Amino acid sequence: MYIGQSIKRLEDPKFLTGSATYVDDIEIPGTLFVAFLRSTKPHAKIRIKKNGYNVFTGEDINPGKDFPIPTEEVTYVGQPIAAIAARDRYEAYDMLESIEVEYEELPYTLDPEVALKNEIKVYTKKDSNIYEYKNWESGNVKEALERADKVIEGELYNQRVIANPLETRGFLAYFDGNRLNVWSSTQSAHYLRRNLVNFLGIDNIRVIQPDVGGAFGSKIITHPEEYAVAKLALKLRRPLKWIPTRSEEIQSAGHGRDKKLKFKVGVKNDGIILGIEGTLIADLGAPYPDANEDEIGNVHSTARMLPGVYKILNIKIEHYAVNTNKAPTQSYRGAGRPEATYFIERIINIISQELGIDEFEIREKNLVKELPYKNAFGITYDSGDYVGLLNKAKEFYQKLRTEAGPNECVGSSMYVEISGFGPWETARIFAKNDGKIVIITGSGPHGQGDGTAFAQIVADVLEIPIENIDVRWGDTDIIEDGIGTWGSRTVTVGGSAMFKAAEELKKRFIEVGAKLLNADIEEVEYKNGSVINKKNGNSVNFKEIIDKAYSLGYSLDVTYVYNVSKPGYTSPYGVHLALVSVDKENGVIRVRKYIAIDDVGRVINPLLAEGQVIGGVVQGLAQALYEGAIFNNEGYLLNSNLTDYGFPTAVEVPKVEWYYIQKGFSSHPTRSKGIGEAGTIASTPAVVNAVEKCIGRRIRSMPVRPEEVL
Amino acid sequence: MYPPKIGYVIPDNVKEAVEFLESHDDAKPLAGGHSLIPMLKLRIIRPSYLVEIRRLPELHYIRVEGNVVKIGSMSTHYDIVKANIPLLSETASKIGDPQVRNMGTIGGSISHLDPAADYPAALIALDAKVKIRSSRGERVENFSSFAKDMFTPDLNQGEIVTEIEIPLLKDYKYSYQKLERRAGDFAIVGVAVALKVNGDVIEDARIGLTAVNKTAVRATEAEKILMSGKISEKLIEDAATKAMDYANPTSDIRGSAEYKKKMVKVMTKRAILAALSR
Repeated sequence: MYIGQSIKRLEDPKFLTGSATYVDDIEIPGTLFVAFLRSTKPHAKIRIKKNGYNVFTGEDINPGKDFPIPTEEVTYVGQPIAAIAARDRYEAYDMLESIEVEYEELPYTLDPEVALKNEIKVYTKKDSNIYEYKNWESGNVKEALERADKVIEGELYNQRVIANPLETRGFLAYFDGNRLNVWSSTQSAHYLRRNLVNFLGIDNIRVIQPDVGGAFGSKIITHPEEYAVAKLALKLRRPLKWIPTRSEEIQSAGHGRDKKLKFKVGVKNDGIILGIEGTLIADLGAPYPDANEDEIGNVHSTARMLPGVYKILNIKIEHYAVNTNKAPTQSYRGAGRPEATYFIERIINIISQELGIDEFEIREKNLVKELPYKNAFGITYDSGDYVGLLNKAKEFYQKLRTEAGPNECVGSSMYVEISGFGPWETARIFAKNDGKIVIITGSGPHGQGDGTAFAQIVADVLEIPIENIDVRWGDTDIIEDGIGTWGSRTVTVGGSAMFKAAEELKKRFIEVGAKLLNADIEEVEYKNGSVINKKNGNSVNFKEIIDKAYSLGYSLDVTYVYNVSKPGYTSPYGVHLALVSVDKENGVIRVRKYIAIDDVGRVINPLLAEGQVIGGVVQGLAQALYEGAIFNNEGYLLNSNLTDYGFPTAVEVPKVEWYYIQKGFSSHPTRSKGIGEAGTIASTPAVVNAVEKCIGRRIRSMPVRPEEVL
Repeated sequence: MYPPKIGYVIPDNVKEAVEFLESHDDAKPLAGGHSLIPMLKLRIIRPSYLVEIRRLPELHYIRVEGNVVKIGSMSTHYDIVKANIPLLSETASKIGDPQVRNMGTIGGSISHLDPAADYPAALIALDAKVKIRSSRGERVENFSSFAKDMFTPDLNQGEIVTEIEIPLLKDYKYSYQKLERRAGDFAIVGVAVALKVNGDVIEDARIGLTAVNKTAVRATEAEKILMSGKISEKLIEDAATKAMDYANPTSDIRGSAEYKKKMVKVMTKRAILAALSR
């Protein structure tokens, strides 16, 4: 069995030898380089003077419209407003300086609470700045708060952070007169293809997702620049490459989170939560439709997951998803669920501090104890043992507390998460006549190592060595279709498609084998890649079967579409613990040690699952302590570089220990649940809770800055 | 990301370099390039020529001559870390990250004069001297007067820094304390301290502060307090408190002025204690 083993990544060799191919590694003769001029105003009417050749504006891309590229009105600093195509990137950035822009400035707002009053219009062509208002309500909150011994009020801000994958976005497009060929640093070739087909109105498009240097949600949507370059490629009939600079990237893409919760929680003196009432204000940034559609789903996730692992029956959350004159927000690792867990787990810590009751005791009292459980907003937590995991975590918690020195505190958080979203995923498996099994996923891994997990799954089903398997993805020409890699869905949903496709191929092996052995299917058995006649012991092996299949009229090329049945997700959960030191003299905060205990169902590859946990935990603790977009009053992002936008180095990262239990399996063939985002979801509140305990004061916003803890 | 167009000069020696710089108003000498090139890439500066002085052998040396250390201006931070010079080597070890230290030079650092740079705290405390060369000859200035204002060295067009001279504080105890959010950052507050201790008395105290003024300053009154009596907790506390008087920081995304000022006390105290425990 390969499943469950810490198999080393099949993906590694090419990366470790510098022979991977990211989009900017691809060269096509005659390629022009495209660069974008960006708005320096948060809201203005624009007139652009071209002054030269190969300058393009919104009129060339989307005449009469302001999205993806504005023709008349800009709505955020950093918005692309004109493109230039030049011989190379140096010349392109020289030529950008020759474009003149006349701005007629309009009133703007950077604050969603101001924007929702609709006194200042973010975009003059939209009636309201409120993209969506919704009231989620269950039980009787008013009555619950009246019954409470104590009502605790507060405001928590989960700040805007920026995904900052080490490889930025990037796009290469070439129209060969017949077909548009596209390479993009994206999370899904197929999804990008669908968007380009819709936008361009042509369907002869091939999209390739080459190696991608991370995304963390920022490359799900199709960005304005991608639409523009694709369109220009049709116009210019030259290969066009676009690679933004890091400051452009930070200014214009990968913005996520940015949600505020004003809450009232009613509790009994013993820590029982009677009800929660809250107003959730989500900043969507500028009204770019692709981003807004992406982020609104995340707002729903925040609202609906707010009850967390607790049996909170009386709850009312009103949400306002509001446009402002800032870069549009998008999915960022966790996509709405981190905010939910942050809010409820911060509330738990605040209750614990206010009532002087241990946070584990409060959790135990309010915990969902029987699964499956449908929460107040209709989210089903499918399987697991919350009590068991909480108890196990408590032991680690006590141990960590004994390790804590003076000015050191242990914070905790418990999360439940939704992962493995539908609607479907594809897998294709075929046998090459040299005996190799080629497996292709419709997902689009970009660092998570799912390719190795897929090979493990297929090797187990076919009972063959993993070395015989080649894994591929990211080309709309090599598999019918696909959804993509996001929502911690790839191993579970993509893996289940792979599992079923492998079973189908195995079935065909058996059929061909039986024919070759002149036997009925019932008379043979499949073992280690061979088909054996149970009666006489004659057998044909894998290679013989592949060799003869065509002459017997069999195709050994299987595509399987795996449909995700309702509810369309599966729910992992866990408890995370952070040991944090706070220097009471200079306010420097360090996470000294971190322990994660998760149940993500069956763990296909513990080595890679742990890698996901550590990566996620580091991003989550970075949100707690280091990261955050800072805008000045003119709508400029002040920290649009890696000096000022401080993500952590190895020095700031603690030792992370990971433990897992396997109690709550999913109903998918892999029995797994997603873990790609769990670390990020759990770690932010665990760290902030620890700091809050150490300083004995309520923390309202992040990152927690040294001067705030003195 | 992309520098503007620029001419490039590779002179054979310092003489050629300064002559070219003198005759080309906006030409800039290129040392380690770890401040100049980032500025070019942001197009904050648009010089006509870069004059490469980095590889000129006559600017590469670190020599101890009696009680002074003479440092060629193109010595890298890493060269200086390795040279074990009291206070200065420890200060150099905290600049940027390893790759930056492999390229950045002391001459470039002080000709650039970022107000949050590390060296100036030590150089001001060490009464460093700066040797400056032009086609007309050489002049030597005290570091304190060389650093006229932030990003404003006492250098005329056609002049380059060729050497930094500091006293060799053989018998001193010292420490450089840098407050930073993340490894590799510029200082939020930096304090360099060198102390000559005789029994329970401090005979000579030098305290340099960086990142809290337009240029580095010496906290002279704080130094006097340290030299005014027997070493005690109170003496150190008083000196550290006094050091705050020398800080006039600005609020920025690294911290508020008030926070930075408080940190001068904390980091001064830590620097004194770390030096004494050496």
